[in-house]
Amino acid sequence: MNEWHSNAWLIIELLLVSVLLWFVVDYIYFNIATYVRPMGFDITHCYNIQCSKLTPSSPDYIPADTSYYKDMKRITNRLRQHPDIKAACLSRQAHPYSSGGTWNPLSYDTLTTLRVHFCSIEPDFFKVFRCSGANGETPEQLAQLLEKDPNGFLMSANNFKGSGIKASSLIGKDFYFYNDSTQRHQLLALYEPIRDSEFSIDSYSRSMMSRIDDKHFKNRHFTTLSISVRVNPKYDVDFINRLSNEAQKSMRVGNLYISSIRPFSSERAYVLQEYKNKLRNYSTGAGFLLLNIFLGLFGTFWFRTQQRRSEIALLKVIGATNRDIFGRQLSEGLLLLTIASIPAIIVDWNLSHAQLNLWLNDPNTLEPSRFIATTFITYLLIALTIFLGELLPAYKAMRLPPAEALHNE
Amino acid sequence: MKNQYLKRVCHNLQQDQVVTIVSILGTALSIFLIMIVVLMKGVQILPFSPESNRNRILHGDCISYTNADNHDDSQNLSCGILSEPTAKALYTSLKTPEAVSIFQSSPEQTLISSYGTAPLSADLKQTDDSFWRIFDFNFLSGKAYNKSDFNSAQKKAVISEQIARRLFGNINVVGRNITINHSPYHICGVVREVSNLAESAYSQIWIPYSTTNIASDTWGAHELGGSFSVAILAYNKKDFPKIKAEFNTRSAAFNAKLKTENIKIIDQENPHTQFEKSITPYSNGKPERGRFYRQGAFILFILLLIPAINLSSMTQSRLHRYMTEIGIRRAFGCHRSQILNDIIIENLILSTIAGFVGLLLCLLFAYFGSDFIFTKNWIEDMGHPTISLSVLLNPILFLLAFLFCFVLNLISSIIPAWQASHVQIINAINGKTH
Repeated sequence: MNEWHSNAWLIIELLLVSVLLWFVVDYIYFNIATYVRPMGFDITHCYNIQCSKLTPSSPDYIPADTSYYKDMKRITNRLRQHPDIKAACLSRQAHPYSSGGTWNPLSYDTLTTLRVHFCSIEPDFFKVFRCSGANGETPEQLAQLLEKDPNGFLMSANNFKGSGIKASSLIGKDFYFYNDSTQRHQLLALYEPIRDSEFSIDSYSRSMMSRIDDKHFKNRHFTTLSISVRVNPKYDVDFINRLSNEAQKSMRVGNLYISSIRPFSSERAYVLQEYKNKLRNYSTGAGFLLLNIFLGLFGTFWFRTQQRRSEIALLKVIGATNRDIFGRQLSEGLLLLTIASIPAIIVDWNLSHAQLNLWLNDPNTLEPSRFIATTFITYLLIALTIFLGELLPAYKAMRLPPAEALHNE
Repeated sequence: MKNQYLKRVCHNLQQDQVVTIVSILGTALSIFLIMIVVLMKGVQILPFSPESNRNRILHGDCISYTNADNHDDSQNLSCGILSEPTAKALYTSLKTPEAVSIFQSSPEQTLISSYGTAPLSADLKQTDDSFWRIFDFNFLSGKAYNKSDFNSAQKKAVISEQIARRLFGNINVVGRNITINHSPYHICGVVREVSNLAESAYSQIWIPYSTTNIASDTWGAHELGGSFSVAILAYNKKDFPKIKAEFNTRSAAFNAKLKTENIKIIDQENPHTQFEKSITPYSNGKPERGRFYRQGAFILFILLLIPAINLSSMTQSRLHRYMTEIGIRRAFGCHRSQILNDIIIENLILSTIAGFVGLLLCLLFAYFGSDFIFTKNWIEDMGHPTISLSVLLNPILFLLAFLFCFVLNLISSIIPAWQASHVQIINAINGKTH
């Protein structure tokens, strides 16, 4: 019987699925590769604390008090003295998973970086998030550097990446910000890049850290500030409940009160949800494609085994072993896949060069091996599915009693 | 005649069990996924309590403004949610709608406590009194704050069932006091828990915004921006164009006033219908219809095409068996179109059965796995995306599922059916397919 028709269907299906699946595999591969890169910080036992101001209708409201920034600093100091807390700091749109903030270039002499994330912090930031220096400085040493020189700043080691300049040679040099060359700031040290989130690419981790500008901070901007604390691991049990109970009494300063205490793990979950949802959609798509391949191969080969009963029986009669029959059935699907893969890889190659997934590309994570790896994974996934789909029909063929099959003929 | 088709389908089922089951599974899988995708959009558009009036609601969520002399509507915009004066000037005075409500755009996490209990975090939304007219909450006890409560800044609060239980252990708590942000409030009503899929109405506690100073938190030039969104309830869906026209007159008058400040607002097709709201991805944009239809078409295309190729191949396999029969029918004068018709209808019965299985699976999965399917990208609130039965049992879903079955069946059976009906009679009788 001529099986060309059903083979043609299968090849078309395999070709389409190969291309679509490659795209999904590439997406997932890229995201996993990004996910496992070092984060540059540690949020275990860390909490994010937000403050709000009382409304005039509250019995405790003090109409005269509007010095919210100072109040916020006092609350941070109280937290710092709390026995459960190892380190605490104020920061503005700088803590991990904060998203947002301002981006500006840094300049030294005639050198200018691309835009980097400007983070306003207190020196203890490094201790809270355990960020370490690019030259092996401990978080304590980084904090001390910034403590000593309130006008200095630190920056991530990747700010000049790709420009041919060794960032470490710039330590100690005077920089200026916002293209304003009248105000100079000394570069105190480099730290390991601090990433936005597990799925954000390296170019989003270019940043600098300087002290919050005490003199110019506008009180009404206090809502952009948040307090981050690192809790001693020994006391990190039921910390939120304990602190919110205490906060009712002892953490009220001026018109401010602690309005929320959230573990950084849940801040992380909020930010990652979008990526998780996308990965969920893409993986479901991949599962759908593979299930279809499974059903298609299973159905077609089941039918073929029935069609070929006499042929298989004859092969057995002339001495084919069970293994021969099994292997013959299995290799057919793989052969079809290999035929379909050739045009599929050409399409994949063109797709990757058309930079359909351009927004994913990042010089630091796009290795030349990515294409080879993803095409190989795609082939392997489909081959495995084909194998599973053909397993039962091939088994059935193998167990075929030749005499009976030939007798029926 | 109909009986005959059913009999043949039953016969097929018995004859080619494996191939038929594979076909049914393939169709069911396809319909299952398509309907999940449809539902993901559906929860944003279809009405359910407390947003049962979605078909009659228009949303004024955001405002965009720019320099008066900027003629490019997509450049140099400042965008965000509205301040109270802006919301009032643009929306409150509209004559056509039944009601207009101004409410806090997204709920914020707040510490609440009752006398003697440890404080707990809950989502708080500040609203006006019309809010309760537009959204149909299910009150378990008490009632909402009314206009005079709002105007005289009565410190009343509506709380959800769960919050009532966590604070007091029961839901008969109307008249009790709670502390919200260090201010005492009086509970006036308890409502059934709200799914956070109800984006406008969702919260766990609601208070009149006149009792706080939220209205003074503004941003941007001329205090155009703030913390509020607007919902407009029309008497009838047909009034939408009239309301939009009225809004345009308002915004023109508003712009005339702003001219002295050298700024103007851009309407961005506001106010948006529920559907338009669901396809407006950013606060600074218009509804992206083109993008929505392109994306939707691509997803549907993939979800229908891949199984269709599979099913074509299955149908062809099945038809092999019946070639002799088809040949005989043709020899006795049965027309080609009749054969074609029969094959397609038989397949349609089969795929409708399969589609029903797929839809059923989809509804069960959506009901029990709502946290997995419907969790939003930026869940800043503490609620759950529970899905209501009124969405799951919406007839539109059943109609769509049948429509997709029909399309899937058509594209998967037309080629094999055409081929089978066009085989030479002599070949067909001999069981050949070409």
